[in-house]
Amino acid sequence: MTRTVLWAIAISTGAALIQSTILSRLSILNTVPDLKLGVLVYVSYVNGVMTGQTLGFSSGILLDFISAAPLGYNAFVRTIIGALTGLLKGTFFLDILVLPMALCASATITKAFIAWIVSILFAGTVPHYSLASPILWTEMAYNVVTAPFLFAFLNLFKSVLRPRKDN
Amino acid sequence: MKSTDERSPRGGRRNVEAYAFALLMIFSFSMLVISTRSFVLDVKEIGFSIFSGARSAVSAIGSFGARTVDAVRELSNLRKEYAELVKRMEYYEVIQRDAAEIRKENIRLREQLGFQETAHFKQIPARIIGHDPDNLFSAFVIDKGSKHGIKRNMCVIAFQDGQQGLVGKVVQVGRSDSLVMPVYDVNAFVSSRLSTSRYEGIVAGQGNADRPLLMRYIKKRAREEIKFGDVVTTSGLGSIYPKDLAIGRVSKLVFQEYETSINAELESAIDFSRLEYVFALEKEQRGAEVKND
Repeated sequence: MTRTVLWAIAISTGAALIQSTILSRLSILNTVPDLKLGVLVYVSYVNGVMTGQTLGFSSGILLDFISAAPLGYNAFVRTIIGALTGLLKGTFFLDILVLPMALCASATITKAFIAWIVSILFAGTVPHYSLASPILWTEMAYNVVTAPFLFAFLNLFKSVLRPRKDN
Repeated sequence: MKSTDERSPRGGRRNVEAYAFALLMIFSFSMLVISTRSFVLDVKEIGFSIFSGARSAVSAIGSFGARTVDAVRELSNLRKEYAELVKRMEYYEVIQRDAAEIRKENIRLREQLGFQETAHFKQIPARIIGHDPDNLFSAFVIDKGSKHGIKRNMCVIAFQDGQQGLVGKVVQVGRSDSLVMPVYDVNAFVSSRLSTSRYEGIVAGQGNADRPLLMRYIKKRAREEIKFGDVVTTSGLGSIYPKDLAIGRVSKLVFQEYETSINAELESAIDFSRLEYVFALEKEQRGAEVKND
């Protein structure tokens, strides 16, 4: 598990940096795809709850460092997403198209929901997605479209990102 | 090494996972509680610094390709521009001579008026190299950090179409890059003033550059005096934003009869969609320098 988490953190950090620099130039409606979320969903789904929540927490903390988000925000949100996705491990066959898209769409909605709860708990000091704003829907569309490609890319690293018995 | 998932029985494994989940939740939530009350900013700054170099490197690689293509095109333009600039420089030399005379006269007049010291601002130029990786947060990253003299809460401005306008303030400083919170962020609040009627208010963002800025808490009696297109500037109250920086222009008035104040929607002075370069302002005392000029 440690090896998987460390590799996934490295890939997530790379994804965050690319997202912050290169992809931000290609943004639509000031929105970029959340590649880190895709990495978290993939690793959580193929490894289970423990790996998912550990990766969610550690990659979230790193994301908090490079973002304007308050420290602990992404760690909190992503730990829950990692754990929830990990619960689904082995439930469905991981194909190359439909399940990656469905998982990433669900994760985006879950992220928005948790952000809304956190925003309520902290009396609006932390922003949240608005259902009327195009940001949430654009991000979800982006995540859904990029999911098959991202999962295919991550499959190249299955020797380090999947449990050893699967390899 | 076998993973926890593999070696524990199903029930026991679930318990370990649940305990671990609870622990991580408590830990991350505690950090969130503390950080929103601004207790752990140093820890965040250290983390930001660690990644600041990496972000610059990735950005540099990304922009290298674009710059190479641009460089070839620019080279041909440069020849033409060079010739034009030589002519223009000759013209400016004449102006500079006049300006030097005016400056000397200005110093003499200042001395007569008794001004001892005037606060000026040193501008630190910076390039925007990225945006916040989280879509919920609107901060952007500039390529200057603490080693270039950037400090937290420095005011950030930009020049567009020959006009200077307020961009935001520095919220996080790394060694070689910094995070800037733009004026349209939901957590940005700027003490402001209508430049013609002189009424004060607080300008706040709505989280998105495409949405107008909101000037709140304007006295209700100002309603008749505010006109569309009125310029709103910083009032200079507080220590972050200097006075008279353009924030935007009034585009709409929003008020209810039962409310004691009115709100105005503003069109930002800066078009953030084409913002590439900014200037961080550092206050400096130039009294001595003025005298020595």
